[in-house]
Amino acid sequence: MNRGRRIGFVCGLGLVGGLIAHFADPSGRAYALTLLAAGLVLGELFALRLEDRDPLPLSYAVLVVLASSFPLRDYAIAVASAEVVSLLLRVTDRKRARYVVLFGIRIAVAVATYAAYQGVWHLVGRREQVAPVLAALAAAAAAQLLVDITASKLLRLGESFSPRSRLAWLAVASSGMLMAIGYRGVDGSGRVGLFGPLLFSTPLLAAWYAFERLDAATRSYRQTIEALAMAPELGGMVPPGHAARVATLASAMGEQLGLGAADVRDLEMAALLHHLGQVTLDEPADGRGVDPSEVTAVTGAMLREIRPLVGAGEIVGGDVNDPKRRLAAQALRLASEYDDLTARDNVPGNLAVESLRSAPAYVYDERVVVALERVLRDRVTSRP
Amino acid sequence: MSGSPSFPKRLAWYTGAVFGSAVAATGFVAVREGLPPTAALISFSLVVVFSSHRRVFFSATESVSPAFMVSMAAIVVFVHWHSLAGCLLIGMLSSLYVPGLTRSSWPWFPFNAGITGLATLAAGAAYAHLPGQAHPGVPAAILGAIPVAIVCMAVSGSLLVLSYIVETGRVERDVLVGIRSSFGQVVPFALLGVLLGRMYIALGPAVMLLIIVPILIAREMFASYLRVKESHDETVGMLIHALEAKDRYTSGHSERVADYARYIGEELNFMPARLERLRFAALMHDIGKLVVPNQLLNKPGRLTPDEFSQVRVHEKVSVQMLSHIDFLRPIAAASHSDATRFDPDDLDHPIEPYIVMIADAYDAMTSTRAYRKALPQDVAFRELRDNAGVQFHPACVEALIHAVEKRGERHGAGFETDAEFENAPVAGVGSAGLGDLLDNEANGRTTSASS
Repeated sequence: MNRGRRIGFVCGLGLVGGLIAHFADPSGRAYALTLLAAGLVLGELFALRLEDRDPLPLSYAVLVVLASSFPLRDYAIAVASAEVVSLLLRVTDRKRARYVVLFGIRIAVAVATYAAYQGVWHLVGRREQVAPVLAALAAAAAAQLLVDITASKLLRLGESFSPRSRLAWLAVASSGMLMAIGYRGVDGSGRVGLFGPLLFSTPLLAAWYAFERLDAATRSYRQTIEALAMAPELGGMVPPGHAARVATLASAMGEQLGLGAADVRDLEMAALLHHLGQVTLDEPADGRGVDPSEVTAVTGAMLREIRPLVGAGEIVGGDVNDPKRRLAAQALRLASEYDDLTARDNVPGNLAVESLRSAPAYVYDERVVVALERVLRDRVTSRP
Repeated sequence: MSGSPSFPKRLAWYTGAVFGSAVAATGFVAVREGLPPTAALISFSLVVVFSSHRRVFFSATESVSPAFMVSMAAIVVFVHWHSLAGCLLIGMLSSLYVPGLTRSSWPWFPFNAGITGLATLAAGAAYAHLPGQAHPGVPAAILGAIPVAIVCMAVSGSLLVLSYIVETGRVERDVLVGIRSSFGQVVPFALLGVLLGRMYIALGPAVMLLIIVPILIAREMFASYLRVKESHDETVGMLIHALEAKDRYTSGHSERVADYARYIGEELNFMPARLERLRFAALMHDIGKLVVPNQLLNKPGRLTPDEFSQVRVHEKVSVQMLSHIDFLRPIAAASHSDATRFDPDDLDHPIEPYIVMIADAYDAMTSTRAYRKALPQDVAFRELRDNAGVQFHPACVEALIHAVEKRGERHGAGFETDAEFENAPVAGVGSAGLGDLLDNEANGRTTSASS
């Protein structure tokens, strides 16, 4: 079932369930609970895609609404049924084990949300004023963040907490608080009922849309770079997979060397595209092959013409003694040479490193060689 | 209107009249109803000015910001406190955009402030007189937002139209279309604004912050998206530059093919996302030529069968490279020349490769190459029509011809802007691309091949 159908199915299920609940419980409480549970499932289908971890579901915002307005029993029923439906909708996909893990994380987050809200709510003496209510809601949102990040780290679903992740969390937390305060009001004031979650989800959906576009554009851009990186390989100028392997190795070395995130990104781009210029050069008639320094110079010049790739161009074709780029440029060169030795010349890894190490001291900075050794050692030890 | 273009002198007295009216109206309602509550006025002023500076620019002139939503919330709040002057002031401030206040364009501020101030005043008056707005239920309050937004847009739209009449004596169709389409865009902001205003009255200014945060984050992400898109465009531009550096005979070819493909897509009513995908596919259709040796691409004479097969490899490579890009994958596999020949029975074949093929063939026929001069446009059209349904997709052929004629464009012999190869020989329709560098028996084609 594609996402559109899933959304239609959940909306239909929620409306039918809501109608039944409306007749079963004329107070409207069961009706609201059913619709919010449906909102919880919908929130699982709309998630903010992040570059460094699993997507962040919008359902976390609905959890805050439920935790702040319903007793534990109702909350537990709504969350459990919504998460089971979400799981059933997911298990039609591959990676079932992963979805079971996600189910566990969602339940842990739901428990933490309720506990944090109730804990702080009791702490502030259950005072129906704006500041105490906001404090309890903020605590619920903070607990979600804490549990989700900790679980993701423990289960290796995502490590870092990038600027984009932070903004995503902030969007979900502020919307959840607003939706909750709109639903429940404060001491009877400002209560707009289900219109709160319904209308105040609009900015969050706008954020979701922007995240989707950004994710798609970032992916397409990355894939375009990778496609370009394939050109020299498909033309038989370098061994197949050279660019991707060098990019992986060089960026890991960049991290080992303590380069900043932007520099590591530049290094990765440089590694992917470091042979691109070769496709524009004429093959010498005498069969000697293209001069590598000419490839470097042409590639560097090409990349420097594109604003987002200027840094990569500097690494490929810039001054090797430029202190700002020296380490990155050496990491790229060393990674490329290592791959040439191991993949093209079939030299065993340890011998390749030894041979690179035996080069004169002025060729490679000692720190770069050490970074290569560490990355290769980590690779071996992390192998299953 | 954006503050960037220079302010036309003809609008000076009109601006004076509109801005003066807004200031006079502020004074009048302030004297009649009293000044607005200071705390609310300050908090709304700060939020509306901040919002108007967090706009996202889609192009040089089109942008969107949450300022309209804040203005709607201000209407609800200040009408509640019987202070239309507050609505008017917030409306005026919503058009303040400091980066637009340059030496030549600063008068746009009083121009826009006058219009938005008067429009917000009218909307506030409409909201105050809506039946049942004293203690409305939530649905009634939300529904009430729609006529209020309509009044606001009608007043600002009328004043804008009047300004065009004052300036040029007429109103361009684009202006009217822009005003009409903006109605649809503001309604969701109006609904949110009314709800926000009600919650502000009940709960205070904290709610403003809670709603502004996700909107600003959406804005930041959208701005990041536009930056990545720009990077992508620049990178594809570099690719085309590299291609043209290899094959100087096809200078500007990829961009022209992308333009013709867009013409066809627009004629076939493609949605913007699909048009974007088509544009990239057209721009990158020759990407595989990157792996063809320069000597072969630039060989002035006829290619041998062996050389031709080497050149043909570029199609396979193009498919391999385009398949690596998710959004191009559905059409990449069908981009090989063996698969782009029109087959009326193949209903699953995506139409985009057919479009790119026709755009490619049309450009090949109407461009001068080293080995032959460009063909006249009518000959190229006839060639496309003669082969419609056999080699080319008939609907796409007619779409291209209609689009080119509708635009009054002329391509081909006598209309080339960059005819580099003056000494190229005149040749027939079978000389349109790489294919005709070989005998027809060798390449299996009877008509214009794509380059």
